[in-house]
Amino acid sequence: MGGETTAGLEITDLSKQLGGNTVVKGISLSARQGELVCLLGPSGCGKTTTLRMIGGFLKPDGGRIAIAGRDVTDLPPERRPTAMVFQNYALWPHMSVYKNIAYGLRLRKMHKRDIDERVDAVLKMVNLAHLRNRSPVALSGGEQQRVALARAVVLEPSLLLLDEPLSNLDAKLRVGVREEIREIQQRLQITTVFVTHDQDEALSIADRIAVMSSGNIEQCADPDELYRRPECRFVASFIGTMNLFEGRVASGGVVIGPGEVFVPCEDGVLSDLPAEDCTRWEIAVRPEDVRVSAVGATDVLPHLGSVVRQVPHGHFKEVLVGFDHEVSIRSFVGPEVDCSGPVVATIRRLLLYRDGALAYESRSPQADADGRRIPLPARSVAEMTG
Amino acid sequence: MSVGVVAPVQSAQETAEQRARPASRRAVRINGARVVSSVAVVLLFVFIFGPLLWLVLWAFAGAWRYPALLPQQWSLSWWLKVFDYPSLLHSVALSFIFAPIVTALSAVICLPAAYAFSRLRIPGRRALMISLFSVNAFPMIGLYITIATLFYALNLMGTFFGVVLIQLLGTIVFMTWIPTAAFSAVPRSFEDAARDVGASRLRTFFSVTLPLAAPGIFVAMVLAFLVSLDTAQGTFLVGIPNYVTMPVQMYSLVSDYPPEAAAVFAVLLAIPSVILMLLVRKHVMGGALAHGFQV
Ligand SMILES: Nc1ncnc2c1ncn2[C@@H]1O[C@H](COP(=O)(O)OP(=O)(O)OP(=O)(O)O)[C@@H](O)[C@H]1O
Ligand SMILES: [Mg+2]
Repeated sequence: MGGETTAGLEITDLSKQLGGNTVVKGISLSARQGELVCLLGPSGCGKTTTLRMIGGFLKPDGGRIAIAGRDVTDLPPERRPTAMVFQNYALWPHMSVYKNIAYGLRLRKMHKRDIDERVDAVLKMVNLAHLRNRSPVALSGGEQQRVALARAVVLEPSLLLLDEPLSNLDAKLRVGVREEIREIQQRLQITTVFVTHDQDEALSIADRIAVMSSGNIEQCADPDELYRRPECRFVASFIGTMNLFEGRVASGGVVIGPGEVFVPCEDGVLSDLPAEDCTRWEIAVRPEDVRVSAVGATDVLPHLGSVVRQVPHGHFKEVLVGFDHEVSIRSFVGPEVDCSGPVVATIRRLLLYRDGALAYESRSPQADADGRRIPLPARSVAEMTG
Repeated sequence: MSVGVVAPVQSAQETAEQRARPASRRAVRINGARVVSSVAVVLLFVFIFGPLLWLVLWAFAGAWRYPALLPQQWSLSWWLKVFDYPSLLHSVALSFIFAPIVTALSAVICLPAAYAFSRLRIPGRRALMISLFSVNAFPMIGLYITIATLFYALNLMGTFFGVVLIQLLGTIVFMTWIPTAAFSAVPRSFEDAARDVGASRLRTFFSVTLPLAAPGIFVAMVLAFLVSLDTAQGTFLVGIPNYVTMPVQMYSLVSDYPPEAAAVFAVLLAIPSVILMLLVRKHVMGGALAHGFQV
């Protein structure tokens, strides 16, 4: 660990108890210099607590925090090289925009001329030069958010901390501002920890995402990996849309649920597993990995289903295929697929979990037989479900 | 607080208000809910300023006999008499010496306590604050008498410091409660943000917490000032005969002269209160936190 001088942030075994509960349970996390890591998880999983420990506002019960190679665990917030954007922005209402941003520089005893220069530069960067002398009380949510960001980055921190910085903005603005944040972060190469409970946000902005659940980091990986290969059942269900079934593997397919509904798999999907296996798995299938095709009225197949619901999304549609015994599979299909009659659903890729952990991953069907590459769905899926 | 001074004239004021009421009732029926609130405001206004107005009329009355609405004769003679009263100026000066000292001392004692109540986790915090309230919850005279025996033992009777202490007592509750609320109204994240950009605890207090809590603190200090100006019983008990402040003076004035002179004196007493109250109003309305964020 000590040898990695490039680490922007290194957290080891961090834990914290609050009100008798262990809210953070010994997490470890690292971020390279210049990397943006998202802390993603449901409400109450300990994201803010973790971030506040990194910022120095909470004293950890155990573990160490190092920023840019220096152990800061015992330092108060004012002596850490961190800057935080608070969820409510926490702009001081009795100071103008200029004074809010300049405050930290003034504490550093810089010359007035240098302060002016830096404040003006950062205001320009966030496109707020015209609001320099406004009171933050008289700003819109988006403008306040950008002032808060400016106040943080003007100090050129080694580590930027953002606690759900977009949660007070409307949906449209959220997308714009998050791109702005990403752009500024990359330009300045600031190591950043970004807390959010919005997976769409995390998937679109992060270099890496640490998925948290009840005080633990379940998986930390880049967005593609996280989407393609969730290492545990929690991540599988939390990220994107996922079909999750209890079932077992049979010859040429899987058998789902207590009703033993057979769903065929494409060749090779189960090639590394014994054909008949009585193990009960948790079967996880992405909707885009389910191929739905219409069958002629004359075909008599044992595993026919019918489309019970379809939602058009422009360049694709989301369909819910129902089978006997109330089993249903969600699928994303091209708009051309005929959904009026009986259909067959075929699984092209699946993941198997046992005791909550990933146990089997079928080979990626990315290079299709006809050479068609499956469009990586992370973003579109998220947009759709979000 | 200033109302206490005009207490003797309150019963007569009630009849004036009863006269005003039926007219406003009719207005309510005509225009509905929006009018109700404006009527409430007017009534409140009448309730607060009615006695004062009545007092002012008395102060300038040469002759005023029932049932006339206004005095039949106007006169400044009572003002001249009051200003001729030998120890008047002295008592006014004395009041304005005590008030700032009591206010400052009260602030020095109570503001740190208020900050601690709002920011530190003190065991029994709630019980402590409620026990403070008990000081004002019972008739003060009982407390004064108990304290008087204590003051005799400590040789504080008739001393300057004794008067300061007795006046201080009446300010403790709101000098703690109002600033506690003011400090608590400053979001923690504002302070965290200051620490985050490099301010020490002390620095954070002076550049963020205190300025944002200032309107509330200011209000509390003005109230303390007024309490000091208006504390009659306690000052009388402890200060007599060495320290005769304005409200204490009023006792002897009332016994020596007819009500018109008392009215003049009451108006004089009310002037600082009214001025300070108007100041407070401006500050409370202008406070940065009062605007609020629209997040
Ligand atoms: N001061 C406290 N005392 C006791 N429990 C606390 C305290 N602060 C937080 N908690 C608990 O710790 C857990 C984690 O809180 P935290 O604020 O870190 O959640 P979060 O992941 O940021 O959630 P959200 O997305 O809702 O902001 C929650 O269950 C919360 O109830
Ligand atoms: Mg949170």
